Amino acid sequence: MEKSSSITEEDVRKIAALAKLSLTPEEISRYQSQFVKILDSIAQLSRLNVENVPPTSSVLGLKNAFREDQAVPFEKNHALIDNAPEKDGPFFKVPKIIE
Amino acid sequence: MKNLTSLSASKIAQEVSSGNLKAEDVAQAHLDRVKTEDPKVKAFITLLEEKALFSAREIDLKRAQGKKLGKLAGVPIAVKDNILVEGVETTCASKILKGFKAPYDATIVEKLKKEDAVILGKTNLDEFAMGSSNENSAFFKTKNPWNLETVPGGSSGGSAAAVAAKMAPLSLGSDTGGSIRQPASFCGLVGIKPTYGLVSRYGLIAFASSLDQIGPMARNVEDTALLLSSIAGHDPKDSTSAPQAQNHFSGMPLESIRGLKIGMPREYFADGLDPEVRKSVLDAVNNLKTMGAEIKEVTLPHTSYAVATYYIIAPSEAASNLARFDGVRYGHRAQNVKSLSELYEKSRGEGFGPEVKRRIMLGTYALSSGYYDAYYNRAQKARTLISRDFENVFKEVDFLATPTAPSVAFKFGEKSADPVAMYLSDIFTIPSNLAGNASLSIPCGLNKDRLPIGLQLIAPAFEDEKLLSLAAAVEKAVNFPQLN
Repeated sequence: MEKSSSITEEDVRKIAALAKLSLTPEEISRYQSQFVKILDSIAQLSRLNVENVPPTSSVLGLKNAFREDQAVPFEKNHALIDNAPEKDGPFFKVPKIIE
Repeated sequence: MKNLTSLSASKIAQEVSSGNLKAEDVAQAHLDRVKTEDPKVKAFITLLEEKALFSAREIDLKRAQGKKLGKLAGVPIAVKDNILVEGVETTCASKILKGFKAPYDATIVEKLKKEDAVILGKTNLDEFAMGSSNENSAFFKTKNPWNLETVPGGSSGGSAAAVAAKMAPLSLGSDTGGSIRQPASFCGLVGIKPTYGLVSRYGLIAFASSLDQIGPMARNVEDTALLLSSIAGHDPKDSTSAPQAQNHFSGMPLESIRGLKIGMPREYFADGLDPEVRKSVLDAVNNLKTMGAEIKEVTLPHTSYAVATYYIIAPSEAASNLARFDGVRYGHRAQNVKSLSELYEKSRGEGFGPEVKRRIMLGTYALSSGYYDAYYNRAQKARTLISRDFENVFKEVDFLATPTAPSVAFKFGEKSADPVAMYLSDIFTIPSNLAGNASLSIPCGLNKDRLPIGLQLIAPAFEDEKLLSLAAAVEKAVNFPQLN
């Protein structure tokens, strides 16, 4: 975790690409300096002894919740499609993805 | 009954059910109040004037036909704008969802309608519930009705301001790291983050799924309990909903405090706590002692790791949850793009605000190859230690009493330039989200500038009823003033 303080603008660009976010050069430079501060403030976790401690992902200790696999009709398809920024009949429209 | 907007929700429900009051008059009085107050306070993103009056008339009609009305008969409710109400715009205070109309009702909204509540409108929040002041809303800043120069807190700041300014007797918020309790504290309200799993999250736009919990905000404990009774319960549509969730909460004061053990965790009273907040909280605890409670100093040794743990887990879950906003099926879509990838990147880059982008990137980083063990996995283990702190301390005491926030409401701009300073304002509320226990804020006094101070009470998971009863006993002893 010691790497945190050395985070560069190039690192920020890589993270933004992974997160599918286009950022302006100003944003990249601002996030770089803020990341250094934020990651420094969470670096204290590296001092915590977590050996033999199991991770918690559900506080209730719930495992999978099962129910009968029954089809329930959903009659509001139009309400879903109506929210699309671009549509063609009952389809969502996106730019061409195969050349 | 001249002043309908000063009535409690419980009183309104009782009077509407018995026919002494018309739901339509109650709705109209609150809508009128919104017209005079909201230009100053700015709590609402969407006001549902016609829909509210229409459903109020339906409730009056239902009663006229001799039908029994629900628990919230004619009670106006403000709903945080990250909860789906069918056919109504739901924005999360984000440009990326501008214009999005919810295709269905959240389970809790279905329940509100079944109990004959009147949904008044949708309230402002920090974008996607990420923030502690409402300054991260993409639309406008909600103000604190106690002092318009200070923040209402966040992220459920609009819901808090609406109730404090008497534009509604009840509101719904959501709490991921303190987003109900901290604004309740800043606005002089009761706000509960119920035990994780007690209230269905189906139809709540997810921020951090293992931490998010919906809860009520009100001007008194009885109303808080009334709303919680109406929304709690197991929901098969939410796979994290607790099978043992009950749905009856009286909010009646405990008959006797005598013999109750209340712990004061020393980590919550450390340096950096505002002296007036400290004094007011200690006074409230002393009150409980006078009433017969046994007060004990206790320790939650991993408290200082909670904020760091939260700022790894919450952004990681957010990065995953917010991947669905891609400009394809709903919300903002960038123009003039040549590829699908560019469509995603530009739509998200243009649609999300600075704090949301910051957290998506933090989470993406914490989950990325090579960093997962150092950040996310380590934070999940720290979460276990923080939960164990609570388990251990609840072997010694019945409840914990702490300040809700380290300060009273701060001024606009005071912390917005420094994300780390803003993150620290949730230092006392975050641990309960990590551990999933029941936690509420109740007003315990005013500082010298007449800004409210909140006492946080924490109970073990599924002890929400007892927690509300203790809060009701505190409420009786404190006699907190309401705004006019």
